[in-house]
Amino acid sequence: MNVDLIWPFLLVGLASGGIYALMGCGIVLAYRASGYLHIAHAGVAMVSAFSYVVLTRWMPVGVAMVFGLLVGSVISAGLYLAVFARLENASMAAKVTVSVACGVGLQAVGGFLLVTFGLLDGSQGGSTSLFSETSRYTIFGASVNAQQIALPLIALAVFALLQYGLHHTDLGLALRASSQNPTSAALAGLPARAVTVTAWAITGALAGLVGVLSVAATSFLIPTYLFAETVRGLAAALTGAFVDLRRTVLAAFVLGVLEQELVGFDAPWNAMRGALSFALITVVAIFGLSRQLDRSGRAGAVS
Amino acid sequence: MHPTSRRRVAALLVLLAFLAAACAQTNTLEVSQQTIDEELVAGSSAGDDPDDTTDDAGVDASTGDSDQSARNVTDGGGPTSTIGSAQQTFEGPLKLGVLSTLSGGEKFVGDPPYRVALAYAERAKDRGGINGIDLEILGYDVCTNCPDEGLAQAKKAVEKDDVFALVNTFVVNASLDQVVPYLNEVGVPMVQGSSGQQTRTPELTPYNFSVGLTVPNRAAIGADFAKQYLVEQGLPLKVALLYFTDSLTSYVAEEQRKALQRVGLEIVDEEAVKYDATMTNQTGQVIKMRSAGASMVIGSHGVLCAFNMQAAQQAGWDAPYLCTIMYDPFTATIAGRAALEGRDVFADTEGYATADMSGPGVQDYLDLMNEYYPDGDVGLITMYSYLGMRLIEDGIRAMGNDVTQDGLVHYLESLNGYDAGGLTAPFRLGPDDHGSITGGHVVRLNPDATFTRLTDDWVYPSAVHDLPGPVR
Repeated sequence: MNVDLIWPFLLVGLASGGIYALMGCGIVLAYRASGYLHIAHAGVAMVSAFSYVVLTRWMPVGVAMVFGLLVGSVISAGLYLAVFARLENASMAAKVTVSVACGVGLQAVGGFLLVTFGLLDGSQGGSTSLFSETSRYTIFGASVNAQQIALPLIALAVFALLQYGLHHTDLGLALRASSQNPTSAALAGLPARAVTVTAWAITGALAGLVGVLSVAATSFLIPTYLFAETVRGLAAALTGAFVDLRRTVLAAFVLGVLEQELVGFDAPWNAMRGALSFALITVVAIFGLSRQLDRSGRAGAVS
Repeated sequence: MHPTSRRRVAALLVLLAFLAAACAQTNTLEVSQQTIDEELVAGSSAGDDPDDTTDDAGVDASTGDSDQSARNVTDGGGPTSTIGSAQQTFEGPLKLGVLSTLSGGEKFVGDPPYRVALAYAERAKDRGGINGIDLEILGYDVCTNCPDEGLAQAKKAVEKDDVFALVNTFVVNASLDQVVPYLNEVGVPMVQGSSGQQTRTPELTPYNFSVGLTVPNRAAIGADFAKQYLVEQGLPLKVALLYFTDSLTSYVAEEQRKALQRVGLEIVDEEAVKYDATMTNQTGQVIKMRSAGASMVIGSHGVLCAFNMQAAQQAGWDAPYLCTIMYDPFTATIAGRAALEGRDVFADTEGYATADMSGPGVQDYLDLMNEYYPDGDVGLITMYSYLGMRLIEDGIRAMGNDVTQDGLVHYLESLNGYDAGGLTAPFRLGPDDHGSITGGHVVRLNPDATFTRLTDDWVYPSAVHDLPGPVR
């Protein structure tokens, strides 16, 4: 491995980590709000991204971005109200199965959008990117583009915003109370359902944000778009026991950086980065770092 | 209805809709099978293709198996045609199985070979059948890298549906490792497109044929052109090798490595990429290749190169690329126009015609696409598929009324200097080589997804290009 490449790979890895962190935060929020392992999160992000690309044909990217986030919010909140809220007392296995089914269903929606709006034809990224794809910036000798700079910064900003909101706003306190003990929270007069729906809407907006931000990175859109990033977000969320946003974000960045640093190794080892997230999940499972994960998924608070 | 009940019903309907969509996406779902009804028409000559070029190939009809189990299929009073083999008897029209990815996210790649087969069969029927025999195309859904699923579907095709042969299976090539020995065991021929090393040992795969450019040949063409280009441009003779880790493209890379070393190009970096979602982000690979001083990227797969070029474009690296398995407009769609502009991108044509070629074979292919598959892309995938079906048709015609599986094998092995009417350079298949096409040319991939021909057909082995020894 060439040591001169450690720094450039670190920067690229932080950009990937930013995506994973945003995904992980959304997954943690959904889990703590309702006890759902939100595997359909990838589908929400993908549909939001496709919607954003389509909307940029008729409106400025900034406006399309807002609608992209809105699409994510509506889908997530809608999924919760229409499907997940009906299964609150179901087993975790049933919830996971339904979540997977919803994710696959969203892939069908994505396929429909691809065909209907011709998203497979020609380059999409160039005209839809939020970032300039031609500008280059040099940071201590490593050349990066605007997106690679922005992604980790946005992820950290979102993380800070979530932390502040959860600990210093009424909504955050209500969410923490509802997630710890929904019955007591309801008896105390908290609108538990409204709080949970709001949390799911925020989760959807996070997925939408990932979708909108990532479109700039690639012009090739397929129904499994952002699925791999969601798997990494799940791995990061697991290290935080689906509770701890700080550990989730930290794990996401570590994962992103390690994946890129692995590219620096000689072939065929440089092909192993895809397995890293699964290795992380295995290690976490073996060493019991997720022992905080309760069976019902309702106890504990987002920290 | 009580509001709560209404909400429950609504929720249930939404759930059912998602589950239905989920079912529609699963790879194990078998797609609809289109049956071209048997309609034997008297006078098989009515269906003769005026551009048919099989006569020069010749076939020893006596080698066709006409055993006891062979069956007369003149139920409708048409001409007498015997269809069968030593293993089984075939009912109804001649069934051909297409193993391909027919559902899910990669359907857009796997569907065209199936659709071409359907189009070909429909046209044959409209022309009165092939020697009066209609074709029935059965599609079997197999994901691109699912060997167990490939074997299960192949068994279903052979044991339940009694297919005569498999054709156009190249999209699921990585799923065929168990299928090839199975077909050898049951004696069912398979005419693939590109087949990697599965046809490199004919004695082990007596029923398996490829209609693609052989891997050593494509590696040789690429290495020769790369060196010529770098010398002309005055660039250092240093290249980076980019490949997937699956068995097929690893094999391609192995041959590319040998060919590059043979012509004196230094491989300064190798990037192995797993065929999964991580391939869409190759920023790290580009940083590494660039820092190693590579003047050019040699890729073993078009899709891989497309994503790599995206990363190169984002990194502001305008290195030239030469990739194999890239001769299809879809590569440009993946890469995007921006990644191709201001960059030299080359591909071998896998032995097939580029747009500027002409000839009766090319015209027949284009006519088929225009009339029977108008929404299909004119490109390598459909060309492969056309030639696969055409060889089946030619084999049936050559066998006359004695259509057997072994007869088809013997016909294919008898081809020498096969003239595909401009679709490919003339090629041979023989008992010692089921790998067919050994020559091709290099094209430039333009940002508008068109190709421009740059060289003549370079046919290997030849003294000019110094490819050592015979192809196999």
